[in-house]
Amino acid sequence: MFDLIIRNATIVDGSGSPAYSGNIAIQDGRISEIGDVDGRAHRSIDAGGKTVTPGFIDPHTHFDAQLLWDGQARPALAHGVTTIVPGNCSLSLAPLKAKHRMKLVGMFNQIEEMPHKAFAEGVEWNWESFEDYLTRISENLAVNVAPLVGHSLLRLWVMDDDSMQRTANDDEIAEMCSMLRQCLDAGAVGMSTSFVDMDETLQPVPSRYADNHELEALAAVLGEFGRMLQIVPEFYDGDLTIARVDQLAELSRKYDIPTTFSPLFVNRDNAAAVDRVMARVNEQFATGAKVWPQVQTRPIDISFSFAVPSLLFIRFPTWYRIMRFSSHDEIVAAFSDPDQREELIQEAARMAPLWPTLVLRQVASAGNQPLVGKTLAEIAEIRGTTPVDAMIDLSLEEDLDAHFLSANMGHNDDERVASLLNEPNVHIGASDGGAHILSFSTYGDTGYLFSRFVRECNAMSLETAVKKLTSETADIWGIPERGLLQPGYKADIAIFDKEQIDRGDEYYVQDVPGDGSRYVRDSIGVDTVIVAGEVAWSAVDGYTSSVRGEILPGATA
Amino acid sequence: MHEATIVDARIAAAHEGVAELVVILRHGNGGQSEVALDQLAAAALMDACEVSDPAELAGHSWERVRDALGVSWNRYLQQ
Repeated sequence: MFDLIIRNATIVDGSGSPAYSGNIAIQDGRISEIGDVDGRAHRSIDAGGKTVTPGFIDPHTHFDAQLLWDGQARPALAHGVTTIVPGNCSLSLAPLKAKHRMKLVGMFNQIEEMPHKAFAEGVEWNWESFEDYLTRISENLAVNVAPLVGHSLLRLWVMDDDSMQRTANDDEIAEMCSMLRQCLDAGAVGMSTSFVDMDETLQPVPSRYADNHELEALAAVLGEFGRMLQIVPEFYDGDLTIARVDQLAELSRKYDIPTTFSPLFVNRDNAAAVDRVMARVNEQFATGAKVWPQVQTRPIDISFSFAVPSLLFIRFPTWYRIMRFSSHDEIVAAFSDPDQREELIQEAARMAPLWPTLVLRQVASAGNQPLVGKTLAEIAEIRGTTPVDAMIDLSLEEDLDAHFLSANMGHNDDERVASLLNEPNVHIGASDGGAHILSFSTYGDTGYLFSRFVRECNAMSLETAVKKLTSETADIWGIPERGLLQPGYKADIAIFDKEQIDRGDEYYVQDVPGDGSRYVRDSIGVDTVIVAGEVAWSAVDGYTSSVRGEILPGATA
Repeated sequence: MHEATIVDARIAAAHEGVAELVVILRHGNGGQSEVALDQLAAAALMDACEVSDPAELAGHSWERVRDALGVSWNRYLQQ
């Protein structure tokens, strides 16, 4: 008797092969039989013809802290994501000496917008080593975790404050290599580093002080295990990014390691630069190097309030001058003065199509909460005013703490993005799940891939999209026994309606320890998510008590 | 050889969900490149070029862009 059988499935097995109808039998957390299989089972799920795929793998997340209080990595699991890679961008939560905890909290706060209070109230600091951190999160894990160890953490452990002041000497590099070896032995999937990030005092993070000698030595250790090197390059500059591609390619060839960099996104303004980056990536792959650019599926939105200058207003000199050079009280006075207000409204008319589309995304007052999520056009209609007037009025009512969003401002050319996502050497990722929690939602990129690029744009087949999110990612990262629906593989499975799967609307929810909030999106069209043969989430019952998540690739023998 | 000059400037969305100014430079050999400026650097560039609209940046030297980037970067050194 099987533990679980999924009947009436449209199976998209993750290999890129065409979908087919069949059943999937599961025993002891693994796929036992697939296809024309029948038999008795303790539990049966009727997929009703829905699409059944391997669980999705998200290779770029920052769930490091959240996993300490939420082993389900909500809401990623509900989107069909069964494996996550935290520890990107040089930052993990281990190895970490007690004396460095607050320094690291500052880095997470600056780079990932994880509030200090969340750490204070949600984290019991009872680890120092990487192994102990993994033991700690494994206690209550519903998703699989393939953790990167952060280069900045290695430096901080070995060099203390000097890690943010100078290059390392040979002894320090040797100690970092030893630490990295311990982390990889404990189950790290690789190491991450960053060439751009800063801490909360706006100092470069420790990894940015490393010289090439240090990075080479650490890459050599990665080579002993064949594990991943992830970097954040100077992504805002095409030429510097190309230089990093070359650097990664050299390390990849020399130490036989996979490498990946993120993010890479395409705008109207940088399309030529992205073309050049991809040309160099493809050249390097042709030489045998593995340099995977990570490209996100979702477009980039711009958020602003009038409390902080935003370049969104740089084409409106009066607005921008007020935002940039005025105090809080002066801005309030300008908005309240009939003559200045009229001048602002007249100037805003130069880009009349923009304002009605802006969305009110956050306010402090209870009275305006019902308006959150509505466009300024909708709010203007409710209030019997114009969109620009509504924006000014809301800002005054909220003492400038009204936040607005201009959606789809970047990475928004579907044709260009689809072309990039379809590149054989492009890795779908860079979701940043668990990060930027106060600015925008980093969940639902998988649903958006299906809704936008498979269904609406018809730019990618369902099978290719599933392959990109599953077996291809598992292969790139060396994640074992995941990414395919085939006998012997772990039964990590997503069941969804291919005509419905999508990301839901973004909303603000207070579920972060310390009364903190974050932006999230629910899944749409996802029916059931299974981890190691057990239902971890379903649309009917929500999150279950299943805790079958594992550390991948896991400790070495 | 002619020095690089600004030929265009546009607003773009940065990775972190904020707006940035992308300046297009044309080099002496005819090639073009793009440089992204954050709020501080963009403001410094506008000041240095004495313009109030990014559309008026066209024709200014790349050295203004370099110096503006320096203004943004130097804030970190002053902490």
